[in-house]
Amino acid sequence: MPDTPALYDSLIDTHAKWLGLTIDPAWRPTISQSLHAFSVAIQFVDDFSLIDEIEPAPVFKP
Amino acid sequence: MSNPFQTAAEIAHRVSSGEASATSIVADALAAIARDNARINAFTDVTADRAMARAGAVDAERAAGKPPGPLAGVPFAVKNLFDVAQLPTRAGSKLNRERGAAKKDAPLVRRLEAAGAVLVGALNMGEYAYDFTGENEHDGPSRNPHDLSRMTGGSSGGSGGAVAAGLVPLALGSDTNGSIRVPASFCGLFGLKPTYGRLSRAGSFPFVASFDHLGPLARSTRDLALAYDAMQGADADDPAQTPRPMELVGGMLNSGITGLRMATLGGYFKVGASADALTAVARVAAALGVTREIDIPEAARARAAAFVITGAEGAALHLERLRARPHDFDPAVRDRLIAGSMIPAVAVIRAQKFRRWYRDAVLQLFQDVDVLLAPATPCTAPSIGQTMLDLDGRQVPLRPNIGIFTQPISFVGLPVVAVPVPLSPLPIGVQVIAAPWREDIVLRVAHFLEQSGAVSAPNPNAGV
Repeated sequence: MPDTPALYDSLIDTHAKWLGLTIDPAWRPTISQSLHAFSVAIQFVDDFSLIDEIEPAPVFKP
Repeated sequence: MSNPFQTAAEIAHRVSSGEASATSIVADALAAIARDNARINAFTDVTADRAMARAGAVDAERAAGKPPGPLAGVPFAVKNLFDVAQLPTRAGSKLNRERGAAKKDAPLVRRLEAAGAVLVGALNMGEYAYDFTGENEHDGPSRNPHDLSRMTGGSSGGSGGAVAAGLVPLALGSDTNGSIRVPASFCGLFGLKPTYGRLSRAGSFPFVASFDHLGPLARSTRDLALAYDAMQGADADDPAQTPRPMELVGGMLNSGITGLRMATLGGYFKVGASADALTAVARVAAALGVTREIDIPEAARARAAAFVITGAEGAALHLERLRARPHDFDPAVRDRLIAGSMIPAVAVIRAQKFRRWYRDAVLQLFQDVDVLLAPATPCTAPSIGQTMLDLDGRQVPLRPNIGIFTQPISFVGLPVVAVPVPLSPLPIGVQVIAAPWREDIVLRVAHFLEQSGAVSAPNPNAGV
């Protein structure tokens, strides 16, 4: 995944608009830091190869 | 005034035998809370009138010849995300206290009171449980009774502080990624995180449905077992609860450790551990005669996946509040939740698929071992306000890294007792971990360690 401050700025703008969130400019640095931390974790999980057939952990029981 | 550090079992014995009344025990607890809470900031609500009425009822029932419950007259308190009738379930937040009072007690509160215990109040916590520190923007930080300048750990910070200070012998907390085990470690207590799905979560404010657990903190293994047994039982109001029948553990505590296959966790669970954490694990391993060391495969990735799922599920839970009242959140929580709302759905589903793989790998491990030992926290209690942590020679943000050793375990819902090793000047915990539904094993091992003297809940000798 690309991982740059410019990407986070863009993500924050787009998602805030999409989700209806109001972002105070003062919050952006810490939101960006959290996005970076999530990005590192997402990439790490993504690097692990899984078979197509594996079920996600939560299974809905009707 | 009775000994503030007597255990729940000792109190129940005294009340049952008529040596002490529930009324006098509860009055002493309320007096201690009134005297000491300003310093440790554990309680956010004290239910004094209710508690005295309930204690009077326990005494009246005993006088009428009704068998006293196994927790007769035991004062207890709950993290303020548990519903308590006539109190708002604040969950550490400013926003939730505007929601009005709960109409009834959470099932676990009802079950403890049915066993004779007496609720004396609700406890401070990190906002919405998204916290490992015990700090809170709205209610102030919980303070560690062993050193008031130190964190209790969180998010069940008040639960740790109240029991460590001797205000109550028993408290309930919640544990999503470590929030019972971390305060147990920092405050020098025994903490039980049962298997995911074992105890009803109904009547508690949620955080991450995939990982949320409830459980007790106490000063002895027997008290954990008494509370755990009293709280078991089916509850249709928690859809994640197991259909398994109750499996009582109280009678098994003295079964010893003969025949148990045990190992210390190496690799990931040693890399970031401080000298104190490694000393504590070594002390516990020596007391158990454990020399074997094994690795859990992909533990670091499990922690990463837990981090992703937590961010996304937490954000989904709070999205409406983030839209409407973002300024009313604790900033440390709000900004992580906002970022969590931007996690792609594919990342969450891949993390849940990885969770299935990891679960299978961990269960395979338990074919060859019964008990795993690991540090509960990488270090002893940090200072309140501290933001960075030295982890394996690197300076890293403190908040997310306090839970590095707890997250890979709760990620797959394993039962754990955090046992306190009374190092000086501050205690630290070790996780005793078993396969799902084997609370009997983790409590047996913890009890053995307690009887051997290797672990104990130290009384605070400073501050309180």
